[in-house]
Amino acid sequence: MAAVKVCLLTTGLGRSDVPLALVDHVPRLIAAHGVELTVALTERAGQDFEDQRLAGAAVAEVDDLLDERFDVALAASWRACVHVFRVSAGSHALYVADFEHHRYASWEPERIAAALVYDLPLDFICEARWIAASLGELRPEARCALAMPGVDGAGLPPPAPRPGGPLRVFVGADGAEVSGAVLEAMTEPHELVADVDDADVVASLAQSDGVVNAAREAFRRGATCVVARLERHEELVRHRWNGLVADPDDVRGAARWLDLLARDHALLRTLQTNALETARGWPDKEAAAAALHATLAGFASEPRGPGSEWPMRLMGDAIAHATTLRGEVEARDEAIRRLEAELAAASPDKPRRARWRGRP
Amino acid sequence: MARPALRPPPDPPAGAPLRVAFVGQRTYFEACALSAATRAVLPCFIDYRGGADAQAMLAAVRAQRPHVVVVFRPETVPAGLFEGLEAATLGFLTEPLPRAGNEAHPDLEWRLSELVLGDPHNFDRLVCFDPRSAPAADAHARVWRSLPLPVDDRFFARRRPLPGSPCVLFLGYSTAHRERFLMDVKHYHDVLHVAHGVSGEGLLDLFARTDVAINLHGHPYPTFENRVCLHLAAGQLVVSEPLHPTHGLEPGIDFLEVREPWQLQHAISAIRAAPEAYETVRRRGRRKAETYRASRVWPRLLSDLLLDLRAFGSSRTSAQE
Repeated sequence: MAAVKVCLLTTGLGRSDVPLALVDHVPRLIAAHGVELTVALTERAGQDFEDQRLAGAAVAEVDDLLDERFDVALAASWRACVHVFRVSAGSHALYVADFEHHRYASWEPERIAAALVYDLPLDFICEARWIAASLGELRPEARCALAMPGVDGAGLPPPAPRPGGPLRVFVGADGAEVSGAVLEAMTEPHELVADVDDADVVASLAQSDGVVNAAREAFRRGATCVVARLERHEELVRHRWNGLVADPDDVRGAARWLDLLARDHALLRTLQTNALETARGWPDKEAAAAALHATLAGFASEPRGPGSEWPMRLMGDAIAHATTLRGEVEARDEAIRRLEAELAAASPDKPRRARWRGRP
Repeated sequence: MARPALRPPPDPPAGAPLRVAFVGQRTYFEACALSAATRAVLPCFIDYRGGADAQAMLAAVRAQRPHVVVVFRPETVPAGLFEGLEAATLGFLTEPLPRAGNEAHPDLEWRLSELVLGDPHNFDRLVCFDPRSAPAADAHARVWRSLPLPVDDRFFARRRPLPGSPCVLFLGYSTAHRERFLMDVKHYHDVLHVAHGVSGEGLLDLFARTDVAINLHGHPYPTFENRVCLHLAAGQLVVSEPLHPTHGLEPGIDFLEVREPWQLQHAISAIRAAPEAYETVRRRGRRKAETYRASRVWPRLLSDLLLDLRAFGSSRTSAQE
C-alpha cells in the first residue's frame, strides 16, 4: 500500500489546538504506518511545539501548501475547517473529539460557526461511538468512522485496599466544581488525592458532552469512577459493573454513591476489578493507530457516497442558530431599554446620556 | 417515640423480576411509570389521588405482593398507612418547593404546606425531581436523590420529519403567567391548547397529531416540567422557558429557549416559516430523551434503592420488626 499523505490542519501547535488522542496517534502513524504527515497551521503560525509528539511531522503555514496534493486533508477543530477546502486532497475530513459548539453558550456567535462544520461535505473521524452515532443520524450520507484512543499500560493493579481507611477520591479536571460540591456533601470518611494512581475512585461529573478522559484514565489505573449520566458515558461505564452513574444536577445522589463506596469495600473491589477488565479490552496505542491509518487509507482510496457532496443541512442549521442568536440579542436590547427607563425614572433631573440601542 | 430501624425488604429470587406497584393519579403519572414488563421489573399501576380511599389503595397494593411500591406525590398517603407493608417504599416528590435564596412564591409555599402534611415514615427513601427543592423538603423528610420523572416507553415515537406546516401544541392548565406568554402567539398562530384531562391513548394520539410543543412554567419561578421529557420522547420540537435544573438538556441544542412572550411568538413564527431548519434541534432532543426512558431508569433506580437500603438501612416502621 502506498504511503498515505495527510495534511493535518490545526490552528496552532499548542495543547488546546489538537485533540490529545489525535496527537497521541501521530508518532505511530509516521513510524509504523509510513504516513507522510504535514501539519498545516491555520492561525498563530510560528509557535513552538508544546507537545513533542507532533515534532515528527513537517510543519508549514497552510498558504504554503496550496500547490501540493494530499490524500486526506484532516481538520483538527472547527476553526481549522476555515481552510480545509483550500487544500487539494482526495478526502476532506474533520476529527471529532467532541461536539465543540456545545462549549459555547447560545449567545456566543462562535456557536453558529462551530455547529455548521458538521454540515459541511466532510468525512468524519469520531473519537467515540456515541459521536459517530449522533453524526450518522444527522448526516446519514456522510462517512463517519470511529477512531478510538489507544490505551497503554492497562493491567496495573488497583491500589492496595486500606481497610478502615478513608475512600481515596481523585477529581477529574472536567467538572471539578461540581465534583467538589459532591465531596462536600459526603458524610463518610474520604480523602482527596492529587494523583489518579493513588485513587480508589475518580469523580468526573462534568455535564457537557465530550470525551471521557477521566473515566478512561481511572479504568486504566484500576480505579472505578462516578460519572454523570450522559450519552458519552454509555459506551464506557456500566452502572454498578465497572463504575457508578449519577444523574446530572444530582450532587446529593453522587455523594451518596461515594459514601456507599466508602462503606462497601466489596462493591468497591468489584467495580475496580471490572474497570480494569474493561480497560484491558480497549485497543492499545498500536492497534488504535492502525485503525486510524486504515480509516485514512479508506477515505483516500474509496469514493464518497452519493449525495455527500452538497451541504444539504447547512442553511437550515444556520437559520436555526441565527434565530436563536437574534433572540438573545433582542432580549438584551429589551433588558437595556428597561434598565434605562428605570434609571431615568429614578433620577429625572439628571441629563440623559445618549442611548445605546444595542445596534451599530 | 423513635421509630425502630427496618431490616431490608426481601429481594426477589435471583434472576426474577421485581414486582413493582406504581401508585399515583393516573392522569398525570401513568406516563411516568412503566407500563410493560421488562426482564427486571414486573410493573402495575394503581390509580390513587389525595383524598381518595387510601385503604382501597393499600388493599390493591397488597394484592400485587410487590417488592417495591413507588408513590408519586407521597404526601398524599395518610400517616402510618404503609406501616407493616412488607415492601420497600419509594416516594417521588413531583411538585416544586421553595428554594433557598429565591423570592418566595405563594404557589411554592402552598405546595410545601401540602408536603408537610404527609408522613415521612411511610417511605424508605424519597426522590425529588428537583435538586434545588430538596433542601426545603429535608426539613420534613430527607431526600435521597434527584432525577426527572421518567417517560413510559410507549410515549417514545419513531423519528419523523417536521411537516411543512407543523402543528403547535401547548399542554397545561391556564395561569396568568402562561396566558401572558400565549396571548400573542395564539393571536398570530394556530396553537392547540389542551388544558385538562388528556392521558393514556388520548395523549398518545394528541402527540401523534402535533409537531411542536410549547412548555411554560405555571408561575414565574424557575423549575423543570416533566412534560418537556414527554414532548421530546414523542419526537416534538420543544420551545420552552428556561429550565432549571436542565437535567442534562442543552438550550439551543436539544430545545429552543425563550424568556419573554415576544420571543415565543418570534420562535413559533420562525419555526412555521422554515420548519426544516429546526430538524437538527428536534433530532437532538429526541435522542437526549432516551436518557429518560422508563425501561432504562426504573430498573436501575429500584435496584439502587434496594442496594442503598441494605447499606444504610431505613427508619421506616415495618411489620418485620
